[in-house]
Amino acid sequence: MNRRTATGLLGLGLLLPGVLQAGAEWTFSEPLNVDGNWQAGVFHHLESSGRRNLVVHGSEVCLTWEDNRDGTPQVRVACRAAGDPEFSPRLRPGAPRESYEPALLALGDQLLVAFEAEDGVRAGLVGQPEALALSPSGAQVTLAPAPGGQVLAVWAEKRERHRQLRGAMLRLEAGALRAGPAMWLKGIAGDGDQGYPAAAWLANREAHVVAWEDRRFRNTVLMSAIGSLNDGFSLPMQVNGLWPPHSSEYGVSSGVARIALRGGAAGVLAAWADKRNFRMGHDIYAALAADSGRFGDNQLVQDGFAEGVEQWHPALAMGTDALVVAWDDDRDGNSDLWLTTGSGGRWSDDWNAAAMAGPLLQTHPALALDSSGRLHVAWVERREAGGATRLRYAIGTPVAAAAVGGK
Amino acid sequence: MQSAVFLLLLALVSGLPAWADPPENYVFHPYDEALHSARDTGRKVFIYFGREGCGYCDLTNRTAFVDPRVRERYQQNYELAYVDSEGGQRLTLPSGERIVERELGPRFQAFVTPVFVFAEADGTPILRRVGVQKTEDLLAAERFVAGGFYRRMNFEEFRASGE
Repeated sequence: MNRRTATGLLGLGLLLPGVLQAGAEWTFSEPLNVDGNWQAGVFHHLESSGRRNLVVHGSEVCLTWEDNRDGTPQVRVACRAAGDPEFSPRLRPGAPRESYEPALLALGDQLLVAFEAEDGVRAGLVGQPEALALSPSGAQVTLAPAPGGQVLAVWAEKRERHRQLRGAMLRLEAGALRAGPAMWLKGIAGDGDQGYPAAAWLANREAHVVAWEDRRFRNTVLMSAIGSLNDGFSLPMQVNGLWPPHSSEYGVSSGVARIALRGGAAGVLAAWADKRNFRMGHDIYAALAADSGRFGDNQLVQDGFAEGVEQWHPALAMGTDALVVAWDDDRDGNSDLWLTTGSGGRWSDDWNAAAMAGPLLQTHPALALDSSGRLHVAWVERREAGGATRLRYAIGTPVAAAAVGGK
Repeated sequence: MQSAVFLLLLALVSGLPAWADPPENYVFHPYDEALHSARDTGRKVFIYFGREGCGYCDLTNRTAFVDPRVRERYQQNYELAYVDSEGGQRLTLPSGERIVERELGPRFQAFVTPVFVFAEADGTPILRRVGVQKTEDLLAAERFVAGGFYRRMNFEEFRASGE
């Protein structure tokens, strides 16, 4: 057994008896370019807060990203219907100048994209040019489904001395996007910056779970809370394990970064980058919040072959019978995507498909599982470090029993 | 129970005096601003990858960067850049790419903190030092770069040469 703990393995199995019965394996298509090929000086980024870049919407899969092909960074959206040979760009809500870090989610029969612009956080419907201003100075917006055909948007915004989390409920009225009042998330404020929120709907509690990076302890920890925008949230609960400082005199503790959440029948799954093994950089950890909304045992999801290399950019997908976490690392000499599947209370050995590895540099995965169990994967690809980028996409079809390509 | 633990920790930690930022009495800038200044001044760039709560950053700040010889040489000879390795500040790279500062980490292999990188004005690394640095380490690294020794030997050879 590698560095995963037996406790952690047992924990997920006990908490997810109905979900983790079948191992999920996929055969992947040849990858597609989402937005053309490499172009000198053009850089694509898949980095929404909470990793909400890829959505399956009806018979389509849609991706949102930011690139600078027109000279300034702008949010883009493209979709591909099942069977189509390629992605098609979609009209997306605009911003006066620059826009960044878009998050994408279904809102009724529409697609909602929220993003950071020079003039704050905006949101709009894909296919329409107008965007609502949610906040004049916020950033790092994420989205989560909500009942009643609504979506929760949460972002970080300066409030007096520190950045704190603020949100708004979004809904459709006669086909137009409407936003409720922007509200500070009640119950979670602290004496330190909060940022990079993620959010998900915990169905069995009929409440939202929100998680974020929090610096009230003078180092970055991950906090979560359960509640609602209108009624307030619980006292914050620390997601990543409580580790004592390495020194009584210097510093505070190890760091964490960029949590992502997804909700499903069994609860809310979190994945994040965690530097508790501080000599080796970040590793990828996961935890589940079930009935109580509190995240349980932290599990190291990567396998022993990842020992000694740093992991970046965790993403996750949660389906009816599969959990998948993805990231990038350079264990094979340069950056490749790696994935692991939660099944039967365990995380699989790390795996990838041929398209996600090799001499090119694959980074920043985005994942989505559809109702047929197909795994959609998008990522950023470069020919050399710092070079121009292209966006790649592949779809994995479930197979009954097969070794999925990999190491 | 976990809430109680949280409150207890909050009470305990709020009394701790130190966390890692750039060392005191230095003028550090965002990475892209430092590169921009370096192109104007002809200086090289010294990049400090730190993290709030980083113990080894704190140790280096309070035992090595506090030395007046270090402060004088680094302030005088370099454009100083501080990178919050978990941060979200947006930067523009010489290539024109806009990224957040956390994304600089993979590009400089700064996967732990602290990492110190001496670089040319275009960001090309000259010397990379990882972990706690003593006063002598910082002074030697500065001599190695400022004296141009890096053009004909590596840092270990330089240290062994007694220069």
